[in-house]
Amino acid sequence: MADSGISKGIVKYSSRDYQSLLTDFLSAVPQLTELWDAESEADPGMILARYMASIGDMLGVNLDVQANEVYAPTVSQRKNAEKIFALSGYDLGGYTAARTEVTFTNASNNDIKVDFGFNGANFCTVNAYTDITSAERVITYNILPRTSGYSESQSRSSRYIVSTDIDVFEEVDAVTLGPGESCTRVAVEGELRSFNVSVADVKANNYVINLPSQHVDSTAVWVKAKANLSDENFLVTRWRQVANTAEFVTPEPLFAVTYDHYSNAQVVVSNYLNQLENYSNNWLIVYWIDCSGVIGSVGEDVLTNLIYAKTGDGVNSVASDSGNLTISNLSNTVELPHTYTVTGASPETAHEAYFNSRRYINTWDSIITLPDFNKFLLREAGVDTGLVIDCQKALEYNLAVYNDNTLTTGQKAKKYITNNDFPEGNDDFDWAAVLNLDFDPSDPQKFVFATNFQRYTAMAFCIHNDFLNSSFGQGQISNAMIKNTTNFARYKAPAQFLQYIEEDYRPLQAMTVDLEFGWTRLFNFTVIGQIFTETPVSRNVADQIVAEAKTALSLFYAPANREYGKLPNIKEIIEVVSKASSLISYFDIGNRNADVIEWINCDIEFFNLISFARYVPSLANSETLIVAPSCIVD
Amino acid sequence: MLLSEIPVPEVYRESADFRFFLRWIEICLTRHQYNTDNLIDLLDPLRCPSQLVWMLGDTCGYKYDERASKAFNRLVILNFSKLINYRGSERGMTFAAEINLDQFNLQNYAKENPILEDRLEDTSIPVNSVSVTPHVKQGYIDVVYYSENIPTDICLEYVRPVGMYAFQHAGVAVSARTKVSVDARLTNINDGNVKPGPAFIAHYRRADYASLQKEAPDGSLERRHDGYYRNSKYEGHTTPFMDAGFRSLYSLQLSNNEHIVKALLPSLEEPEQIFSMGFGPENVETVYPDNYLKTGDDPYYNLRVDRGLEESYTPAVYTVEDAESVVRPYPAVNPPMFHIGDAISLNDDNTQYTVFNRETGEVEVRGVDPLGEEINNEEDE
Repeated sequence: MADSGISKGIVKYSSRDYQSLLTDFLSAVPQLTELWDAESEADPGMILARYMASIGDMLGVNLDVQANEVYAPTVSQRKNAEKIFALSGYDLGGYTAARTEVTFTNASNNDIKVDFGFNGANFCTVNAYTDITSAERVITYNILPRTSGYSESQSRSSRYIVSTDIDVFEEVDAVTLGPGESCTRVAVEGELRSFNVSVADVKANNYVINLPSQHVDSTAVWVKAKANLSDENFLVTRWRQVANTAEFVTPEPLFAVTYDHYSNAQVVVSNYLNQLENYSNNWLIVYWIDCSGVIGSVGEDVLTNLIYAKTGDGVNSVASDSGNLTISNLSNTVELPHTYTVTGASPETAHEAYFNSRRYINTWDSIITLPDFNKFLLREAGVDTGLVIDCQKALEYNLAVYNDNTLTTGQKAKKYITNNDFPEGNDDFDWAAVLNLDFDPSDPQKFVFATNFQRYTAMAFCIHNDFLNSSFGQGQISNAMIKNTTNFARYKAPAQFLQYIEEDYRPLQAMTVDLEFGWTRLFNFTVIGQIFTETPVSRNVADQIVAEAKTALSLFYAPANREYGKLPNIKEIIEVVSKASSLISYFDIGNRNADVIEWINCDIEFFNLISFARYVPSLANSETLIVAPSCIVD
Repeated sequence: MLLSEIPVPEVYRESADFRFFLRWIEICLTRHQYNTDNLIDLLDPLRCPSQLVWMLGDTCGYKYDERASKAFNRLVILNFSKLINYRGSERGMTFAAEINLDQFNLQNYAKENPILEDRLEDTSIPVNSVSVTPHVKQGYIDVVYYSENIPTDICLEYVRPVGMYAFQHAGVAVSARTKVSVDARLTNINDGNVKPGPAFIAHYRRADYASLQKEAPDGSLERRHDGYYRNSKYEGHTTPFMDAGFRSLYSLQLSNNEHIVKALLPSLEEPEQIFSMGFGPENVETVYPDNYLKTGDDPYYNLRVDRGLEESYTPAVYTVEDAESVVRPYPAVNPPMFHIGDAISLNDDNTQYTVFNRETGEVEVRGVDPLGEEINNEEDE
């Protein structure tokens, strides 16, 4: 490197592209030599300079890309994301098979015997004939023997692999259903496939079995062994799945599903295989569910046409279309906590993995702090967005409002978290003393703000299923709770949904606090303004543009994309509307009578930490978004 | 980038143009070489480019906090995994509070050199400078920073167990087991081989201590720190300069901990408002934060010595308390010497002490039982 010091500042820090580099290079010439000057574009020196600037541009871009690949928020390649998130223990999701709970009910007056056992090649299956977009398509669900609903000791928030606890290849899972009785089994979407590989080959391939499929759900993979491929029965060795190869510590028949550098699932077998006596001539058979990812999800009660795996001996004699055995299933388009509903998914992108990993880090089975509880709530199935606070956080918020000099006393009074939002606890503190204030803010005689909140309580606020009601199958519907008050609406997710979250929380044995659910302060708003188009459009096209803009706003302000305590702002509204359609030239906000953000039946000064701003596309009596009349030709 | 060292035929080097172009390329591509060589700095909290610190924090799960300087955010990122490991524990709370407290250090560095607002040069954490006491039954955690102001709370939320208040104070926390001791004492030769004699307390800074240890190169006397000099009236003979002889008399093990020292000292102007063990810093030249609680007439009980709590940890509590009131614990050490001639033990059992009467200016003799209670006010010698 030149040590004359002249290199310093010759190329500016901000010069990264061809043109700016070229300018910097040329302006450096007089400092370096008096013998040569860039006189003409055709000068070999100029060609050299342009060549260098081009190299510099390319190197700069590459370097910037590399720098972006280092950080979680900006990593874009899956192979890099796998390494970054592995540092915090997060594994990127591959294909996920949709799952649901299927309930079989005896609708006849006689006992019905059914057997959900595996027949050596297939599970019992049920089918759906339309997908969630109502398009015609056959979706097959495999019924896993010996599975039923979640028990009290299980939680979706702890790592759980179906095959660790149950032998899904159980050949007998016979149930006798009396009249009116029902039973539930877990069903996984996809096609059961298998792959035979000799033990000798597995050893030769460094204990790795490459699966001839890309659509593998890593939690629905099973390994069985046979002495000969032609044998009907499996060997007794039970191969058990573990989360990763690091768990191959005990000398047991274990395997793990991992991904290679191209995101193809592969089975890694514990080298305990080598220690099994007389095993080298055996065969391993890997079973997996070849799933269709997100398009395998189904709506409620659409699964029909039960095809039994086994027949004979008076079992499985009732045809599913006879009406004597009714089939019902939970919808898995929205996941429900504490159930086996899993929405199918395609492999996570690096960007999705970033958001999901933020909810994951170090929280398995040990939720202690407020960030942990927030992660627990946000990753809970069916929660669009949520917030957990505790007594200290509520107090901190009230103090922050109290100390905010930009607010008047009246405005502050509206913002404080009250004991209606968060119940009062035992009042045994001298608040004036502990808060280092000259007065007690919660003194009933001269009340300023609430300080005393219930201790050992995690107060959770969440939005479920876009404010809609939830169906829990077989006609059970739990309604979203919305109360209108003078200044805002109050919202609470369906009671049964909240109860399921608590049932998911309990097995985590976070002994520190009780989980309680509070009422969200809900503020409805709509967006008002005129859209101007690039060229004049017909009325139909104008309606379509408005519909597109409203859809874009609905998506942008959907609870799943937003956070609590965050107000909409004009800049983002303009951006969203302007980009909603290529026909839009610009968006003129508001009109003569109203601002762009029109709050509906609420006083926005009450908006605080536990509030949510909900976008409502239309108002009953007036137009909200319109295409400017001057842009419409009839 | 040493392009100029690449071997080329000598005839080329004779060309001025060739030499110029070689050097030009070399200089112009140096920036890229620097960036490439230092790409790994992106993952180093100390060297990560300023504008990317938030992304490094986000990568390890820490949300960049705008309220504090970049240097402080770097410090948090540096220690973040440790914070997460300790979360929910008293140790974690203490660690987080200590990191919070380091804001003051970093602010001071930045005043000296503004670049230190961004660059983190001192990665040390001020240990033993906060006190965290969980009160599980009442549902709160007491966090006392040994500082004059409460730092902005940035780290506590990452470690604080949910459901408990975390009350933060600036001040001093002395538990019954806190050993406030003096490492050198003025002892009557007659008291040799008996219980420790009376303690003489004065203010001593680490810098002063260092000055005493080693004289200035020219042998001149250095000026004492004001805090040291301020208390000199108790010494009997005052001098604004360092006297190495005082080292053995006045060095306090709590040197560099001004707050505790302040807390333990009486004020000549208001001798009754002695900040005895158990009371908050009242009128002892403490600079109060704006929102600091100032109560009425009585000195308030700030040190939170909860004898019951202490005894629940271990029955070996070292404080002998006045039975009348828990807010006047009496330390199980000899009485402090607030004036020359004060509190000198007169017998082997340490039951008789001299007492300096401020009104009359005379030295009286009083008997004190081992619990610190006077047993005979009238007994004069």
